[in-house]
Amino acid sequence: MKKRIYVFDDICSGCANCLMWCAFANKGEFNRAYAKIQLARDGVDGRFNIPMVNCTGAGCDTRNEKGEPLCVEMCPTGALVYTDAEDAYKKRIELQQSREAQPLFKLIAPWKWPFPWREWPKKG
Amino acid sequence: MLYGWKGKILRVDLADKKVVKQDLPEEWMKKYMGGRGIMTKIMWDEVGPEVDPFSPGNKLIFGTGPLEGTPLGQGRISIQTKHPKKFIGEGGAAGFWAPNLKFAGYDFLVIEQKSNTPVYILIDDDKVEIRDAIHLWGKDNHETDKLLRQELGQEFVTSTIGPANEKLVANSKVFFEASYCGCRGCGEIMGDKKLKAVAVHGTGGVKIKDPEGYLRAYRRLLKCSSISEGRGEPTNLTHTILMSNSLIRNFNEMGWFHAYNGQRGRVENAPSEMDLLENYLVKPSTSFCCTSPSCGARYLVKEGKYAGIEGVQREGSPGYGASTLGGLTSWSTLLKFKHLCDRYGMDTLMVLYTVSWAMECYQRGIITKEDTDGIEIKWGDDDIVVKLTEMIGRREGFGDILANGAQKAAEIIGRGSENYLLTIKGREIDEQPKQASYQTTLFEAVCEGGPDHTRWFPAYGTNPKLLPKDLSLPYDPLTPFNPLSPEGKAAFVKYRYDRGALIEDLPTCMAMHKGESLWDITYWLDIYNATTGADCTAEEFVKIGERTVNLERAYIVREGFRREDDTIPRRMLEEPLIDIGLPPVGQNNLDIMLDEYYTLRGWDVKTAIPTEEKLRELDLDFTIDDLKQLR
Repeated sequence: MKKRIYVFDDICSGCANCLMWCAFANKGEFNRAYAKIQLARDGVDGRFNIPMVNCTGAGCDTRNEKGEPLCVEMCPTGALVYTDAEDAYKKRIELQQSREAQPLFKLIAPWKWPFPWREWPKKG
Repeated sequence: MLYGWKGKILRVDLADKKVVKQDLPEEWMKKYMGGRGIMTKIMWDEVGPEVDPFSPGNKLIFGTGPLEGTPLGQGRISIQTKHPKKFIGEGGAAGFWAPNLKFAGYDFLVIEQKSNTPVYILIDDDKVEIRDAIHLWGKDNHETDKLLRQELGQEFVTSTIGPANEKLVANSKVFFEASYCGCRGCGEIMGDKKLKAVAVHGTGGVKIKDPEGYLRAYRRLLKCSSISEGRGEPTNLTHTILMSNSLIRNFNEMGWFHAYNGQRGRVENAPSEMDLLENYLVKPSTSFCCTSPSCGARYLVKEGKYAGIEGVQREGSPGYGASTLGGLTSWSTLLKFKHLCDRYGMDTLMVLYTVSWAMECYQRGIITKEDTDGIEIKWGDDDIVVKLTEMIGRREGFGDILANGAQKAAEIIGRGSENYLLTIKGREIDEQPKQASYQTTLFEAVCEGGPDHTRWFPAYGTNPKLLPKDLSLPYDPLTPFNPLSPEGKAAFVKYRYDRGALIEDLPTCMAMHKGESLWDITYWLDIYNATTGADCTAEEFVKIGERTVNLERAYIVREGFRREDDTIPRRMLEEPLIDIGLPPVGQNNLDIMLDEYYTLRGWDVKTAIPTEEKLRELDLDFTIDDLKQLR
């Protein structure tokens, strides 16, 4: 299936790495004006951070060894994913379920931080 | 032309309401790079020893550097002023303010003189205005930020001060986006200048000399600081996510706390980071282009009497301070405490150590109910901590005395209360071990900016097994792992401090200073050269850090600081920690370390004044004449 950039905005930290690197990939300059991604952000207390993007990655040549564009590579939490619709759906389920086992996944995505986390102690 | 820098200093005169845009000399870029280096140069030239910190002559400088506005800049901003206690009042914060200043076209913002009425500064690219802020005066940080963005537009990023700063509460901070804070003491000067806020919005960008080189160097640095690569730091994995909070229980197990105002090394129950994560944190939150997934996280207190408070938990202070105040364990109290400090604009450390000092004085009967307006201030009392914090923020009753900071409060109370102060150079210490770690002791004693561990992070060594075999370091790599001996600490501290200054001149976040990048300078040099095109050599690059520290020392020497001011609190020097069986540091041990440190630095051992030879070597000739008269 066709790949595009999917956003899981509940684990977006609002860092703006994606749009700065998008601009860099386009023009070699760190300038918001050249980015295809916008960040709807309320800085105070991180009340909301929502990256807005409509991009299939076409024409974006700066990729890492996994074939990810820079915006996805540099996302520190894993909120941006470059994949197809089916996999994006699976990832959404994975994220929700992994939170029940390990509260760290309120803050990060298991696909970005895959190393074995210590099991969370059972209640009671 | 050099890339990276914008090449402009913006000067705003609050008395004459004048705005001047000045060129940043290229010589300064190459010699001091940015951040602390250039700000200290400006301070040396323009704010002499005759200037009282609270006089119009004192200046407040917001400084960035060549890497700011690029991802590695990580939104770091440094603020510098002459601290009310006369040393270098400098501190860093993060957020989106600094990149916006760069995008608007300026590297530095220098605030001069004082205003008679409250004002705020608006910077929108080329447009710079000084505007009336009477409607904002008295409002807390959250309200001020909200009102300003309603007035100017969501895209504006603010730095503000709260009501505590307006009332000159000691060591209060400047807040960015109402949640990033630092710069202990700078907020006090900002309040004194009646500058309520600086709102910035920039639409430009930062050009890179060699984009491919930048990306290569950045990827290499990411790999080196990433824990998932298995080459990171000897801390637990959650440190990447929860930062300082993840070390609270380690600190307690090691006995590194200043529990009960430094009377003990540990408490029975320390607050747990697992509790914080499971029940209070809801969402990640970081600064501009931070590489840590959640250096700060958004918290929400869901139940109890503080239900509904929310904000960003970014630093370790509240969790570490729980022990200082006698073993608080409830995160909802600690978060409420942090929330209050944020709203009022206060420094959590100042409140912590001033309240803990008062608690010990109360325990010893030095302070009684007569002094405290009838309040019983007992150890570990959640409600009293919250109440006193509010009283300090409002300067009400007993809080008015505490709001002067621990040292001044002790002068007012007298009766031997000064014996229990935890202050260095007049400012409250931070939560780093002293008796248990001689390298931290030495650093906090000599630091030109008062006690502040963020100027030389990290304080621990690198696992010697990770070091390349052919590497020669200026210190013995085993030294930091033998923290109870004065031996070899000077070389370690000097190395890390010079490197720390370099990191903050770039600027980037100290938390990036990890793994191989601690000893391999090419990690930083490559990215600096790729950004700016300065073609700097490794030798000259390292010298910039050392130059920064020496200029800072020259500055505080001119202000009157000498060897005898480089010390630690009496308690840590003279009293053992009985519960964990540690002897006091002892003047003797401190002297051994200081002698070695000054000698290594090329400073006079008796006075701690940099020698002429050293100043010449670092091209700081302009300081020689001033210092000659002081020898």
